[in-house]
Amino acid sequence: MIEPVRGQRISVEINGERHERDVEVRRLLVHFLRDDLDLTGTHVGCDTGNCGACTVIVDGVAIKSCMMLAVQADGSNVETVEGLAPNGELHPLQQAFSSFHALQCGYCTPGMLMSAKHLLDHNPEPTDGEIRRAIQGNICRCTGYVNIVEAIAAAAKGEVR
Amino acid sequence: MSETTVTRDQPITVEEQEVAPGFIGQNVPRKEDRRLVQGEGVFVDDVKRHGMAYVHFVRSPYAHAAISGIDVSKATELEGVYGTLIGEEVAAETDPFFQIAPPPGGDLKDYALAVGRVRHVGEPVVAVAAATRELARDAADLVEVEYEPLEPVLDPERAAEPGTAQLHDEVPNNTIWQGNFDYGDYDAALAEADKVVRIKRLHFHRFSSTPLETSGAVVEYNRGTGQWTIHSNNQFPGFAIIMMGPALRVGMDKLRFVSQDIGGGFGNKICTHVQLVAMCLLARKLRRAVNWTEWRTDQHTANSHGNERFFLDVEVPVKADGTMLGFKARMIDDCGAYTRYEPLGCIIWAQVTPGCYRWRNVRVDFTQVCTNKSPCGPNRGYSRMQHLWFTERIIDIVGQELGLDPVEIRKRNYIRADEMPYETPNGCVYDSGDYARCLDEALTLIDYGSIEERRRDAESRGRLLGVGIGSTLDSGTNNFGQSQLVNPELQFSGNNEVATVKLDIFGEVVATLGTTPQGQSHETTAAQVIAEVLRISPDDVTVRAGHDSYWNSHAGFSGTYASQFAVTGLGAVKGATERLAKEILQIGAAVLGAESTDEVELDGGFVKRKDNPEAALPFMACGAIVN
Repeated sequence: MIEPVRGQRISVEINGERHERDVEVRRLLVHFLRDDLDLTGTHVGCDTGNCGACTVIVDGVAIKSCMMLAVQADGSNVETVEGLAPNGELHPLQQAFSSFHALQCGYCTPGMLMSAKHLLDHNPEPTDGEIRRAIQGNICRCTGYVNIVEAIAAAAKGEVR
Repeated sequence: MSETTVTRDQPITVEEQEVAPGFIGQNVPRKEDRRLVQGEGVFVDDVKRHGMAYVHFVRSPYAHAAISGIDVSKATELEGVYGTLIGEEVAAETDPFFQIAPPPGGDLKDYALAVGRVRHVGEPVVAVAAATRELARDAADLVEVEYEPLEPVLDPERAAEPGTAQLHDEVPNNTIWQGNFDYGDYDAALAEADKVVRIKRLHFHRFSSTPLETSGAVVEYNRGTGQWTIHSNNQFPGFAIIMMGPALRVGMDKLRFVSQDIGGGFGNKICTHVQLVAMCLLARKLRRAVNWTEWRTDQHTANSHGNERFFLDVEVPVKADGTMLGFKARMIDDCGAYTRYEPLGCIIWAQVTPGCYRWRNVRVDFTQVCTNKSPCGPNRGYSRMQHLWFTERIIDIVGQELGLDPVEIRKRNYIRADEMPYETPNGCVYDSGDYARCLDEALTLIDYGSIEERRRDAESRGRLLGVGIGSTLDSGTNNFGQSQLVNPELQFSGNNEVATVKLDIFGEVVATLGTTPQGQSHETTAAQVIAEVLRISPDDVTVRAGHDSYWNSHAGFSGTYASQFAVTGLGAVKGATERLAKEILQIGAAVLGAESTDEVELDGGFVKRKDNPEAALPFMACGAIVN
């Protein structure tokens, strides 16, 4: 009988830095980020793929990192919220979220920001409808959606105070 | 009649006065945002400790069952499993949680884990601690619990009936609390009425809010001092400590609560003291830090839900013109399997007894029962929401019976602006309000006049358009003195919150709060108030993030719940800052040779002589002088 593979060495580039680790093959990408690499900016809200708090960008695609195994990210390029302001200068989206009061408790914010970044990376001039579609997989329970949409629109237009 | 500080003769008035430019009421950048938009907040699951164990709870699949056996041996044999905790250990090492209800409802025994019997689906039965989250779940699957199912009690209306199964041997008829409320003269209202509208049954369902961050904790035990450090997102540490100290048989000082950022609360995070006790026992037993992060499924199944309530045999005496004279009802409230914060909900609704209306005669027979459902706790509009929904249902039904427009019957019965401050039938005081005008403004905003036209338009497109009106008010902050109405033996009184505002040696203004914010911008708003009083910029004020019962001043009811920061939290900030301002002025006056503090003022981080602004003492010097 063949023993199933339980662990695997993976190499992932995260926010421009390469990380190599032995991980259990069942390890979720979000737990790899949070528990193995201490990148705790990416949050877990539902562990069922519904809330989007764990959204990161993998090879240019916004994904929910609780829905992806760490081993599936082997060899890929991952962007997380920690990479948005590498030198401490806020990304226009981050500044817009603050300026437009698009966050309260801040728990959904990293996932919202990454969904928004993915949108603007592919569609620099989105309509409100496109913004709403882009964040439809992200839940905010303080219910600041209106301000979040305004913030993303302002960031897209370069109208961030 | 109780004495109040606001009376008709001494109403709350806002004096028109010239206000110097300040920071209160201004739109200022939030101090919290910079860390939160960078993912650099510290939520509870972000706290890491060396060798930390992850805890998973084995939960009951039954609503009601006797536990005939627990075998954890297969779980503990798994490599990487650090240990387990079962109900027998909890019963030996802790006392049942303190109960708010008087006997017999207050005689029920509530522990951190099920002891001998489970009473709701999702009740924690065994805690398993292991090196990783995944392993803890694996091990939990290997725990064998033998259950003997018992008849569940699911229908609150029948819970108190003879012959119904009993949840707690100590609590006859599953009845936690019963009380009669009789305000005004209901019998006279009946005699005066032209008509009595009767409503057989109204039902407010069980519900739950859903903070995006689930509950959790990282707990450490210091063997040398016997003290626990509880990093958690519990939103009411004052209450948790009151519950946990006696259970763990320690003084309150042994429980240090720490939180920084909390991902929403809504009341769901008030009653986590139960799981926190299990965590304290595990941290002590395993000699290592333990992490519990609730899974979302567990949160939905078994966190503290909002109370279900029935309003039965409702009577509403009314005049022919639609004037409502009062109401009578039999209310049955379902608190679930255990009384954690309950039965406070049995009295909290009375803060808003008449809702927005002038009816003066109220008779309520209120019973709270326990059932085999997840225990309830304060949840968004705790107990008042159920009651205000009830008043709105009444008014719509009465309107329909009398053929009155829902807007018209509301306006006819609203407390009027010229009656403010208004004393309710049970002695509460509404300080201000113009409800009819508020409704008019809301109707204008939705263009209520065009509703019929829009309805016809919608119908022509195969769609239905409905209109509903709800007008409610709510009480902010708690008055824990109310608890004596459910149990006269309780010594709780009033409410409190604390803040410390200090001037450090280099002139830094630093504040700590007793609150546990969950997104309400306490750091920012506190800084605005402090800046206003000290005449500096909010940027010059440091407000420590979060709560730490060792670092921050705090009080018995410290926390963030019941909409109380604006009143008690900021009130404490303002009071503390004014005392600091007075001391700074005294130092400044003395150093600058002024006769009294009337001759000096605060301006931009200096104390200055009013007659000579060049004579100025910086805050830094003030701090150094009294160092």
